[in-house]
Amino acid sequence: MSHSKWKRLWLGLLGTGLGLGLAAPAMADWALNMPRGATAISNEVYDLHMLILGICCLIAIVVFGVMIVSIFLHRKSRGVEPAQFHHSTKAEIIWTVIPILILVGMAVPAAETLVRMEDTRNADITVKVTGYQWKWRYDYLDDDIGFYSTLDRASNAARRLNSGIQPAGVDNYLLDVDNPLVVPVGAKVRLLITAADVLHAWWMPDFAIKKDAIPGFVNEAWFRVEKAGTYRGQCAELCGRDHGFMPVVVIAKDPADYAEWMADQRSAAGLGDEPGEALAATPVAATSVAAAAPAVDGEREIDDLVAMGEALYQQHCAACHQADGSGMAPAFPALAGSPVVTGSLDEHVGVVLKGRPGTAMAPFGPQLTDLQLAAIVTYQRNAWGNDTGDVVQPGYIAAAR
Amino acid sequence: MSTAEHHVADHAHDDHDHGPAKGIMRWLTTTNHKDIGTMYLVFALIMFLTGGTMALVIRAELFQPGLQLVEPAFFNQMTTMHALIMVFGAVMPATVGLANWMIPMMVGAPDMALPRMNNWSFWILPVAFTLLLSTLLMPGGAPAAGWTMYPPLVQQTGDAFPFMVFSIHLMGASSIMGAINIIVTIMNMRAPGMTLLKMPLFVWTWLITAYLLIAVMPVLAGGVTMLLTDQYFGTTFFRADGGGDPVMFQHIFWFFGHPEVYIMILPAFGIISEIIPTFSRKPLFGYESMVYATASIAFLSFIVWAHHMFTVGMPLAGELFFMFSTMLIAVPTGVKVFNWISTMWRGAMTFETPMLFSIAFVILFTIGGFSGLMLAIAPADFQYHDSYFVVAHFHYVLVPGAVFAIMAGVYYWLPKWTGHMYSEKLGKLHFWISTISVNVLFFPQHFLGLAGMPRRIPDYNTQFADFNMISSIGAFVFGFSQLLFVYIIWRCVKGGEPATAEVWESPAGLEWTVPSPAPYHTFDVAPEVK
Amino acid sequence: MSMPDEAQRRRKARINAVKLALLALAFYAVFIVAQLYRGQ
Repeated sequence: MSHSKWKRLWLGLLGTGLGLGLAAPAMADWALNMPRGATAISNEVYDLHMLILGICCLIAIVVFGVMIVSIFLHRKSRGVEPAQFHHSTKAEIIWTVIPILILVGMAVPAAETLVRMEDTRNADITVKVTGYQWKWRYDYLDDDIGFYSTLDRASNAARRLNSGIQPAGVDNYLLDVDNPLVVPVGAKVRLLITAADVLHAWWMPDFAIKKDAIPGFVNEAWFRVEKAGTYRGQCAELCGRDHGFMPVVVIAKDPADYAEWMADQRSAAGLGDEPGEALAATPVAATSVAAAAPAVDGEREIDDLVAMGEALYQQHCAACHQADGSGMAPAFPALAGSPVVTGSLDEHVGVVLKGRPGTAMAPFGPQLTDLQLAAIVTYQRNAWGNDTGDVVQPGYIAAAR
Repeated sequence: MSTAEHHVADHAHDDHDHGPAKGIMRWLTTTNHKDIGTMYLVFALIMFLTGGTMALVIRAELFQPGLQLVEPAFFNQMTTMHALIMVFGAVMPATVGLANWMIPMMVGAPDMALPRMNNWSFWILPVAFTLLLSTLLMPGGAPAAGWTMYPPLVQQTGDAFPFMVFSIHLMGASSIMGAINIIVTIMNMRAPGMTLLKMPLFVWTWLITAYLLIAVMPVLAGGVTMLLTDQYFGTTFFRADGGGDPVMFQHIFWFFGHPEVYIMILPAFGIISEIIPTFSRKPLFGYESMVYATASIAFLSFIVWAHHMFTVGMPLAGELFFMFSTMLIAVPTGVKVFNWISTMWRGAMTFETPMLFSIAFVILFTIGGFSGLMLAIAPADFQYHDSYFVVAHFHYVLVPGAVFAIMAGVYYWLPKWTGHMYSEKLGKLHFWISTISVNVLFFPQHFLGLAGMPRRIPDYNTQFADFNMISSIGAFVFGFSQLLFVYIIWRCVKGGEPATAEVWESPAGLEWTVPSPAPYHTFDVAPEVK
Repeated sequence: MSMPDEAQRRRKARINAVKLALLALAFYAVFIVAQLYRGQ
C-alpha cells in the first residue's frame, strides 16, 4: 500500500474526529442530549445512556472505518484483482463472542439501575396521579387534598389553529399548567398512576420517570428531588386529540415552604390542620375552583352559577366543544343551539354525568361536584344564544346521579 | 372438475408460446408471476407516494411551533394512516412484489406454485386500501389512535372503526396467502439440484419471512377481531370496566408487531446479500452463517415483544427478561453486518446505483441498529420511549433500511425486467439527494427525543423549533426527490440502452441466465443446477 | 421440468398450502380462545 494513501486515510479520520469534538460543546445549548435531571436515579440513567452511546460510537468507528478503508482501497478502478475467500469459521466465532461480551458489560449496570428504579418501598409521600382526556389530577392521599392540572390559559389561547399568537411570546409554551404538582425536596415521593378514560403516560424527563396511566390499573413510580425548582414534562402516550396539550409540571419546594403550601391548600379545602379527616360526601376531593366558592350546597342565583360555570367550562369542556360552544363537527358537536342543551334537562344532565360511551365524551359525574356540574349545565343552557333561562341547582344533580 | 372448467383454468398454461392477453383484462385475470410482481411493485409505489404525502402534511404542520395548517384531530389521522399505509401498503407489498418476480426465477421454477391464489392475494390489496382510505371521508374521520390501535382510545374512532378492522383483516389474508404461496414455491418447485443451501440468500430470507407472516398475521387479526367484538358485541377483552385488560391488547399487538419489523427487514437483508457480492466481484462471505443468523433473528423476534411496552408497568423479572433477550438480537444482526463488510473486503468494487444504495443501507441501518440497542436498555428506555428518539430509530431502520434496500433491488433487477438500462446518471443523482435528505430528515429527531419531545404531537414548545424545521426541510427534499425515482423507472420502461442477459459483470444466480427482458415464461424446462 | 413432474410438484404444493392455511387459522383461533378462557 502506498504511503500517500495511508496519509490521506489518517487525515480523513482525524478530520472526522476533530469535527465531532468541536461540534459537541458548540451545540450544547441546543438541547442535543438527554438532561442529567434532578434525581440520583435520573443521573444514573444519564450515565447509562452515555455509556451505551459511547460504546455504540466506538463500535461504529471501528466497523464503518473498516468499511470505508475497503471502499477506498478495494475498488475496481484501482485495478485490484478480487480475492475469492468466502468463509472463515474463526472469524464468525470471534464476531459472535466479542459482541456477547460487550452486551454483558452493558446489561449488568442496566439491571442494577432497573432494580433501584423499581424499589418503591418506604415512601414519605404518596400522590395518586390520574390521567384524563386531557388533564391530570393529583390526589395527595395522606393529606386529603386533590386538584386538576390543566394547560395554562396563555398556551391554551395560543395553541388554537391560526390563533395569531406567536408561541415564542408565550412563556413555557405548552409546558405550563394552572395547578402544578408540588412536592418537598429530599422526600421520597411515590406516585400511584392510573387513568380515567384512555391510556396516558406521565413523563418527567428530569426524574427519568415515564409510566403509563392505564384505566382500571395502578402503576407505581417514585422519585426524590435533590434541588428546589420547577420541572416540566408532557403526556407521552397518544390519548386523542389534545394529547400534545396536557403537560406535566412539578414544583419542588423546600420542606418548610411545602408545609406552608400544604396548610394553605388544606384550609382552602375547608380541612383542619390534622390530616386524616375524610372529605365530605363528594365522590372526589374538591377542586381548587370549588374550594374558592362558598362550601354550602344551598339554592343558587343564576348569575353565580353562570359565572362559576363559565370558568369551569373553559377548564373542562372548551378543549372539544370550543370556548364559543361551536364544537368541531362531527366528532365534537356544537353546544350552541344543540338539541340536547336546549332540550330536555334530564337528557342534558344525563350526558354530562354519564358521558357517551364509544365517543370522547367522558362521564363527568365522578370528576366534579354537584355544585360544579350544576354551574356548568346552567352556563351551557344560558350561553351563546341558548337562552333557555333554566337554572339547575346542585340538588337536581344529586338526584340525577 | 369438468373438462370445460379445466380448459379455462389451464388456459394460460396451454398458451405458453403466446404473449399475455391484451388490455385491462390481462392485469385482472393474470396468473403470471411477473405480471403479479409488477402489479405489487406499482401498487407499493403508489402507496409509498400516498403515505409520503401524509408524512409531508405532518412535517409541514411541525415546520414551526403553533398550529398553522391542520387540526390536532386530523393530525392524528395523518400519523395513523401514514403508518398503516407505509407498513402494509408500501414496504410489505414491495417486498412481496420482488419475491413474486425473482423467487421463481431464482429457484428455476416456471411460476409460483399457486398462480390463481397469487392473483387473488394481490387483488385483495387495492380493495383493502380503498376501504382504509375511504375512512378519510367518513363522519369522525379516519382512524386516529395510532397504527398500534391501542384500546380504549381506538374505541373512540367514529364510523371508520369497522372499516379499519375489516381492511386489516383483508391485508392479513392477502399477506398470509402470499406467504403460503412463497413457502410452497420454495419448498416444492425448486429446480433439480437446487438444494436448500444452494438457494440465493434472497430466497432464504423470504422463506423465513413467510413463516413469520403465517405465525403472526393471524395474531393481529385475532387482536383486531377482539377490538371489534368489544366495540359492537359487548365483550370485554380489553375493557377494564368489564374485567378485561387494555394492556393485553398491547401484548397481542406486539407479539405480532415485533416479528412484523423483521418481516419488513429480512427481505431487505436478502436483497443486500445479493447486490454486495455482485458489485464486489467476490462471493458472499459466510453464506451459511447468514442463513443461521437470519433464522436466529426470526426466532428471537418472538421473545422480545414487550420491549415496546417497558413503561406499562411490568414486573421487574419481565423487564429484565425482555431487556436481555432484546440485547441478544444485536449478535446475529452484527454477524450479518460483519459478513457484508467481509464480502466487500479485498473485492474489486464498483459503485453503480444499486451498490450505492446497499452501502448506504449497511451504514444507516446499522445506525438504526445502534439506537435499537440503546432502546433495549430498559432504564434508559424510560427516557427514550414514545419520544422522537424512537421515531428517529424506527425510521432509520425502515427508510434508509428497508426502503433503500427495496430501491437497491429495483435498480438491480430493473434491466432484467424491462430489457433496458436505467439512466446511471439520474440513478446516482436520486441516490445522493435521497441519502443526504433522509439524514437531514431523521438525524435531528434523535436530538428532539433526547431533549424531551414526545411523539405524535402536532405542536411543541419553542425549544424544539430549530431541529423540527431542519427535519421538515429534509422531509420535503426527500419526498420530492422520490418523483425522480418514478421518472427514472418510467424512462427505463419506455426505452434506453439494451441490457444484456447478465446485465452486470458476472452476477451469481439463475435469473441472469435468461435473456433481458425476461421472457413472459421462464424455465418451462427446469435448469440443471450443479 | 417435464410436465407430469411439474403437475406432481404442484399437487404437493397445494397440499402443503392447505396445511399452512390451517396452521394460520389455528393461530387465529388460539389467541381468541385463550383470551376467552382468561376472562372466565
